[in-house]
Amino acid sequence: MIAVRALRATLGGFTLGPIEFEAPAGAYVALVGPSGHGKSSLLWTLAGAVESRGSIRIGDVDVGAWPPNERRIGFAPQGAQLFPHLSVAANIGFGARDSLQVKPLAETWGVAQLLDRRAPTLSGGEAMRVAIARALARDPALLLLDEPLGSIDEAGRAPLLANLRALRGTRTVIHVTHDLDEAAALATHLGVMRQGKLVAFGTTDDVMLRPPSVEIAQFLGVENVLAGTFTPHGEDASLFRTGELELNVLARANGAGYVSVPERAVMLSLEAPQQVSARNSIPLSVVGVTFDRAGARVELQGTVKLFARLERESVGALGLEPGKKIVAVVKAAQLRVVGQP
Amino acid sequence: MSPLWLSLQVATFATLIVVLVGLPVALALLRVPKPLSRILEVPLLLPLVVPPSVTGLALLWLLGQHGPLGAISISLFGETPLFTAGAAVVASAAIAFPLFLRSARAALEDVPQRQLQLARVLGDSWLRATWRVHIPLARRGILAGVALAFGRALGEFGATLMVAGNIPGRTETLALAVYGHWLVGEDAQAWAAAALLAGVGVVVLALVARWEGARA
Repeated sequence: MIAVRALRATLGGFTLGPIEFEAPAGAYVALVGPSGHGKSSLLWTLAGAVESRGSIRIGDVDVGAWPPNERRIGFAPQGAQLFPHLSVAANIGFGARDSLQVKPLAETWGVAQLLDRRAPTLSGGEAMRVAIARALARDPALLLLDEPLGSIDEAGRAPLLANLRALRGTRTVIHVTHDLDEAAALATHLGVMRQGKLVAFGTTDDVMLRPPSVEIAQFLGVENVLAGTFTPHGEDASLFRTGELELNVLARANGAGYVSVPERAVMLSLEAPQQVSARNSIPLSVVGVTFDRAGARVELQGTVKLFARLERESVGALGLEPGKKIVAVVKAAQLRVVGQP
Repeated sequence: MSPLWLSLQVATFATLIVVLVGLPVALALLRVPKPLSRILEVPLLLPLVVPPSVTGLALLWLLGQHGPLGAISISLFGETPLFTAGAAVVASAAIAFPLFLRSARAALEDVPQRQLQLARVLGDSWLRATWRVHIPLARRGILAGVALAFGRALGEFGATLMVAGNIPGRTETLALAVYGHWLVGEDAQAWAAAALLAGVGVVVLALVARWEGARA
């Protein structure tokens, strides 16, 4: 378990906190946020390298005032930061509780063949694997990882992701990344940092599906966010009105607010489907289509502006081109309420 | 004792003192705020910029019967260390100290803070991190400082003359011998001693270049 309360620190001119969060033992926490907003600083502060105020409870003890060497934290910082004067084996063994662990850890993390090499001769990806093994050699109660996949090429990503996924449940992990896919693939809990503060924290599902604000929804890649007014409708449904448009939402909400629609949840149809109450049909016209590796992204405009994600071949099948009239269909259950308790 | 042998002994002991005192001082200076450390190091760096005769005068007081080191020596051995090889060691160490301090301090300062913090996070006490990470990562600059200190100690003349005199066989170092031989017209011996000192100087500079070059 990790519980952080009223944590504050000053690093140069940067102010971190106050920060509060709590995650159960074995949680895999991903910290996301734009560069320069304090993600790494938070890790160094938790590790005890920076003077701080507030409490940091790991398990049953508050280590907030403890020197870094007594906190039992493993840390693989950004860029690996291996000790350049030591071999790979000596790096992994640096803080090891049991030197017999060096070899098995090197095998698990795929660096067993590099044990005699000097740290500066490794590639970025190799160095990071060594840094993670070095952090784990401490058998830490809390493992901190700063952009562990940052310097890994495409081919090396999948095996390292599998290694990281295998850490889930073995100990509490905090993993800093700017890559939301990475966070979604690994994390049980998600925190969003902005200007030195943790502006959202919860289970990954909670934060991804019910972001606490429009800014966070947009940061989390929810491109479609609509502003309007909710009117409760029955037991656990609402009507959401934005301009001329009225949408069914399968959640109870009241007053001004926002709904978000994942791009993949927007289906396109040439005609309005048979009216079913659980579906919302929105007549729009195509503004433009952009293609990428994952398929196509269609920009639509009408009473509202929406983006939709399609397979590449659907673009041709539907004859999508600028000016084309189309109906966007969104299931009521796919409309998520943003920023309401 | 031959001047060459005495010089090597004096320079070696002086360098040893310089490193044993200088390394902890350099590490300590890094832990105090910059403006304060700049003030604290002034007396330690002063021998670099004042004439050796001034340092010699200060050492005469320090090692003399009214000075603190002299008093300690009297209580232990019954006499001051003035005009002994010991005084030559102290004079060489005082003159060589600033060269080592500057070089070692710069090298220690260059080690990324993150590496030291990481060593602490990975379980090292401050002392252990200093020994296992800080000093090894600064070793090039520290070694360059050792070479500079040794070279300077070997060539020390002015302060040594004042506190140790120029007693043949007892305190006559190679640097003093150059002057001694020249004074009595033994130009050949003076030149031979001078050539020896210049040769050692070339070796010292080559070592400094090698270590400092590798650091950059």
